Amino acid sequence: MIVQTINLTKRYGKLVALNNLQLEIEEGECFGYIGPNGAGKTTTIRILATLLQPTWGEARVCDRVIGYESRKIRPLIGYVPDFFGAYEDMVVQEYLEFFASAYNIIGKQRTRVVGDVLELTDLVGKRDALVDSLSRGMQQRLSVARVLLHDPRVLLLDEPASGLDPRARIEIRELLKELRNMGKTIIISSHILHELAELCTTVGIIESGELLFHGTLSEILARAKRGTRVHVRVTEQQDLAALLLQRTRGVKSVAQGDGALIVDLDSTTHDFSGLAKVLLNNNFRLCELREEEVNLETAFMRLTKGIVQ
Amino acid sequence: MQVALTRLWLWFWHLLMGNPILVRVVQGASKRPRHLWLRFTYLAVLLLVVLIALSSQIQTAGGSLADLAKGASMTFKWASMTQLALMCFLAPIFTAGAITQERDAQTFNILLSTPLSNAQIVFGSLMSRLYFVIMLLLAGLPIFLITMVYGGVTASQIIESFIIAGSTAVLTGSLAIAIAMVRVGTRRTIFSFYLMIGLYLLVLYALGRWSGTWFADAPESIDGRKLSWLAALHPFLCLEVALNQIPAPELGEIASVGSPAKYFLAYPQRVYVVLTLGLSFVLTVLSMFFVRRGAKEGERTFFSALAAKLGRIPAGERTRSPRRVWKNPVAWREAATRASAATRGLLRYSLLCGGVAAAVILLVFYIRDKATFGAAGAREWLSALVMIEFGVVLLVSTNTAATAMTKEKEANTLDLLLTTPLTSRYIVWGKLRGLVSFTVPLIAVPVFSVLLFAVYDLFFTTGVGVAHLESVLELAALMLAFTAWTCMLGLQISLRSRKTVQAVMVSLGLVIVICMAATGIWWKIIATFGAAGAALAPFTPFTAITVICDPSVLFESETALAKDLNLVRGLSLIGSALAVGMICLIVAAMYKAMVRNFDMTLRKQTASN
Repeated sequence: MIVQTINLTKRYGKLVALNNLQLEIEEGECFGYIGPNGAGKTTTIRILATLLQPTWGEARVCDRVIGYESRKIRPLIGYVPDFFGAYEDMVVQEYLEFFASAYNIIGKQRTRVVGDVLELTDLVGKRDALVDSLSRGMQQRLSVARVLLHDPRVLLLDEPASGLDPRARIEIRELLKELRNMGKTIIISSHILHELAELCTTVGIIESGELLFHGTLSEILARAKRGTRVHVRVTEQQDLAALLLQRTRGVKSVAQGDGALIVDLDSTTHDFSGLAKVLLNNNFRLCELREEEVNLETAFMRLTKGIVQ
Repeated sequence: MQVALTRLWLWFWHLLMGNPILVRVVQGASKRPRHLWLRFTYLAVLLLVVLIALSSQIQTAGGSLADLAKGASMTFKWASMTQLALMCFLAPIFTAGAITQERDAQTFNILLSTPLSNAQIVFGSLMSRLYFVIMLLLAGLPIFLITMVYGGVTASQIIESFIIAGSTAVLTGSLAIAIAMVRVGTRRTIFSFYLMIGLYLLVLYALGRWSGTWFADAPESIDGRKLSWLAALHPFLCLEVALNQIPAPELGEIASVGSPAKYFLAYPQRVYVVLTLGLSFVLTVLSMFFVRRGAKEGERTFFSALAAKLGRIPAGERTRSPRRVWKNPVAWREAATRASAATRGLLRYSLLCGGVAAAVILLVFYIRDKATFGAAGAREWLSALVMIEFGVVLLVSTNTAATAMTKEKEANTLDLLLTTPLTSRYIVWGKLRGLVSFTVPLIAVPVFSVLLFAVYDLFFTTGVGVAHLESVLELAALMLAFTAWTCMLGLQISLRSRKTVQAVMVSLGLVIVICMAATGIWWKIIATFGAAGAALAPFTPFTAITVICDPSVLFESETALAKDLNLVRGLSLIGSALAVGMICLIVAAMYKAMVRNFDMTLRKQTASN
């Protein structure tokens, strides 16, 4: 277990930001951390980044306890916050050399490491650009370059795609995929759920400081799936079709929505080919018959209550 | 007609009394504990000055009504001077925040989208800044009325003194608002704002006391001074006239002088009030034109075209060749990157070039006009020059240190630094080392000035001379130690503060008050010790400069100095070594305390976010 939290609790005065959080992340995993605003995602990441101390409970990174062995943990982690910390009057190379020195990478090794990281993040052409004049996408790429300088085992990324345009978002996603393939453990929080679905191997859903779900993507989708829902569209007399389907065996409910009929089957029925048969036998001309997909967004909406602290 | 009148009334109502910006400040700010303490301190200082002056005057007075009135008049003079000094110190503090606050607070743009007119926004901003200062002035009024009990002080004198202080505050407020509205100010401008006001007050006052600016036909005061032509341009010089310390000529006596000039000489206090209020009005009106100027942001103007032509504003991404980062990145950041920022670089080079040029000019005067200028005169000028230069160095170093941590907090870079293996000891040490490296070239200027005279005296002067080689070493070591202390103080306050503006205000205020108080009190002590005072002087910065640059201040005559010169040099050397040791110990203790509290302070700030 490379990251583990045991009953992790964090209070800000009366506000409980994290409540007995139990989290286990294996080495090489890409963990997507999702939840509404104020759910406790940033607090968890800041604790793991050694910036905050838990009020109660324990957090471990690489078997070292945060708060007691923070100094040993720092070289093992790379933290990308949800903002870009820009130093005024510093160019990209200086910025990276500055942080390389902070990780005690000096001399020729520093020059080599900075060069490698610039190449990996495709920032070689921006070497002489002042960091505060870079675009948001480039700044975010520079943030990722910064955390790769000391080759950390765990990457903590807090909303790395927020505020980026679609192109920059795709570029960052591709970069993260590359890092995942390099075997880095990545903990990433984001609101852009379909991107997490593409990137992550496991997902955790947090709300009001409590972990609602933790597992693989297929597990979360299975959990969110509440019976089979089918979308049915006929060319005419949709109301009659609804009445007909209502009386069909295995159908729990039928509702109108978005120009189609939304048919919920009961928990024992999974095969919906019978619906087509019923409609065609009654001379309805069928335009569409498909099972509703459960994606991460749907799962998120179903599993969370939308409570914001 | 009635509708028009109602609209007009509403416009005026929203301009001042019902101005939402002002109402928010009046309702909220007066409840803040910080303001309560400031008000309390202001009144306590004023009351203390009045009570001490009044009791000492009454004790020394004969007991007659005339003597009591004379005593009350003296007390009033002290109180007025204190009030004006406090106003000159506090008004920039309360008004300077306007320079960036409007821009920092995202509420300003919301305000611009409301139907409030430009005038209402400007007046609201100005009055909300001045509200606290004006309230302070009014709160002090009962204290001044105490001085009227014994006679000798007229109501018109009190009013005049209040109007001079008030108009000074109004001008600083208008200036700050104008800078904010024209949008030429940044956080760094706040420091320049302080520095400019401070230098204006100091330099003009010094010039006003110089006989070269005196009006020859003006009557002499008891201490032999005359009215300066600059009196109408300086609050303290014109207050001296209002308090009858410096007599102004009657208008009829100077009929030969041209029309506007004769009013400058006959009524400098009134001209000062008219000038400051007039300038404030102009600045306020000017600000109104710039309130919604942001709507035209990005449009091509004459100035933007000129700047683009001269290559000052590059389009898009800016580039520069990278510099070598030191092994200690924190020290490198403080010393190299912050120092190279445009305005700071300008300030540094102005100080370096100006200081060197002033020292060379002074030496040329000394060499060419040795007979009239003399070593004593040169020492006096050198002492004043070094004092001004070191004063600026202290202010610059304090300001830079005060922004060291808050800038990291505001730019969100502190979190990045804290997740690296750098320890708090390493970060604080790096900051201190970088700050001292940043100020070393600045300290070199006054040291060079003294060195220039010391080298000249070594080869070409016999006798007492102006400076000695060991003075150069003493000054360099003392200045470095005092600068390290101000850097440590600034860093401590920067760590505790959340905002740069707050950190700068508190740090500068503390350094100014501590230096002024320490110099005043210590000087009184040193003066009673004669030659032995040379060993005590190095313990505060400005007494150290005074005695090291001009030891004659400890003696009644040049011959007495010549007699005990070697003794004074020896004592000064011992005193300097002890003082440097003591300051280093203080700095070390402050450093240790800061390292110890570093994590806890930041954690507390994070927890209360």
